[in-house]
Amino acid sequence: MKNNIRVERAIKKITQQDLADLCGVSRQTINAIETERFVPSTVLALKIARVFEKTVNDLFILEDE
Amino acid sequence: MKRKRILLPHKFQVIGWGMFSLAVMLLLFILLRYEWNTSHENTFLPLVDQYSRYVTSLLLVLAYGSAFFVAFSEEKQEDELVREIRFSSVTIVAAVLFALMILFSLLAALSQGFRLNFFTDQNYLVMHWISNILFAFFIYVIVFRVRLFIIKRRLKNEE
Repeated sequence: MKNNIRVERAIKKITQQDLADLCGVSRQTINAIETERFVPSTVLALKIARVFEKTVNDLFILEDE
Repeated sequence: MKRKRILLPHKFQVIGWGMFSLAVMLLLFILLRYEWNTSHENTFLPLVDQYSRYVTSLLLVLAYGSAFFVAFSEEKQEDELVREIRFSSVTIVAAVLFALMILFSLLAALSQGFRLNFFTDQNYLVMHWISNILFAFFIYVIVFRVRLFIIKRRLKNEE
């Protein structure tokens, strides 16, 4: 699953730590999501989407198998 | 959405490591005493005085208590990445220990069935350890900590 959190973060000019604090997770977790090493839960995906005022579908793109 | 809390708060982990340190110190004390006192027949815990049972009980309480607190308490920042590493570590350790038990059981059966006698008492001792829950907890704590350390260090310097 791809995501464009890094792009959205750059547009909003916030750091990984800022996003982590807003979502209540560690910076490493945000890093792991951005680098596609970790797929977040629905709750965390919704929290991230809320920070960027986007839908989950705007941020996360399901790739074909 | 409120998540159901399964693990103990982080402060129990500090208590657990404290208990573990005490258990190690107690074990060292017992081992040191063992060297000095060789004229006994007690093979497990060598204290031959009337306190031996109390010391053994205390050591077991400290060992099981520390394993419980360390294994079942949250990290300082317990988020879903940590939970993912935790649960996958439990799965890995359980699978590896079960696989080893199957292998050892198979070897024991072959050894006895074909009267080859390559399965020694030491092998049975290893089997005994693998099936010991304290050993499983110990391995789980090591696997979880090492994986957490590696993943966090890998992700630390990337921005």
